[in-house]
Amino acid sequence: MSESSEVGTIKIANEVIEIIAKLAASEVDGVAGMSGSVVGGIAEMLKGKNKNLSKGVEVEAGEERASVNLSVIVEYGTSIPDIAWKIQKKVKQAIENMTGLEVEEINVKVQGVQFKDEIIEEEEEEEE
Amino acid sequence: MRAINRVILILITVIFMFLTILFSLYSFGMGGEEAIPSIIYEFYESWEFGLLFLILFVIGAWILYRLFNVGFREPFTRINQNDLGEVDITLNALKNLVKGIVTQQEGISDIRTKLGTDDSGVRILLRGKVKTKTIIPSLTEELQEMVKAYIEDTTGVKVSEVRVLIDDIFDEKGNKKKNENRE
Repeated sequence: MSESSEVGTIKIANEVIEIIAKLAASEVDGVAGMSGSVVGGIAEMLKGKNKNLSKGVEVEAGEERASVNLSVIVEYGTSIPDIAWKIQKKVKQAIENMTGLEVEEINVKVQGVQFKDEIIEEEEEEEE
Repeated sequence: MRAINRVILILITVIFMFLTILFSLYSFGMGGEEAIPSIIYEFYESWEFGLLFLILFVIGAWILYRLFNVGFREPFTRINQNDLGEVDITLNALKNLVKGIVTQQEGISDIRTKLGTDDSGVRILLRGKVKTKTIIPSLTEELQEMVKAYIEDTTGVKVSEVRVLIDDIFDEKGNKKKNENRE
């Protein structure tokens, strides 16, 4: 995405939009994480993307509009339609506020479900 | 991954394995010094081999294209479509949800889950063992209702069928009754 002003041109890389989307989605209660497939990981590696920062996010951005595909892992016991709606709203708001782009669609794919004991295990591993 | 993709991938892998073992044996000095050069010489000015290698190249390129542009997508089902976009869930995620709920049911263990989709919704097949003295029809009915209600409430996905197959019995200590009888 690029924008011209009197003093010059502003360009926002797709990866930046992906990071904004990922951070916004991760803040939603009930989201355990983002999910990138092995194939997606290889593709991102070949494209030279920072895998961790934009994992599970695909952005197609034009001059004024963008669409986002998110792959998420949700916590067990949560209402998935509610979480998906919250993710869509939050990501749309974050991208539109920070970039000025109009977000046309945010597609959410739930790739996995994480159980509470898995979350506790992960937290313990991080502490170590 | 679709069946055709699997077949092509297996084919390419078998060819790759054959070539690598061939070159490996040649490198260890087996088959004679002129073995591989004489094979390669056979390819020269042979339109049949030229066509074969060209087809293999196209298949390889097609697989790469599928991998990076379309992706070997996991099967999924639609949860809903709203003003902001589509919401989908993979069958693998649904399977985990089913696993989470069925483990809470007493009297049944070692449950394996299979999922499929059709126009009427998601079909769930559960296979497991029940404890001795369990009233199987009431337990399975309870399980069916619990799974259907949970999946529909938490995901919004319509469950068209929950099939339960009891394939074994176990006692209080966890021993298999079927095996004991055989012994």
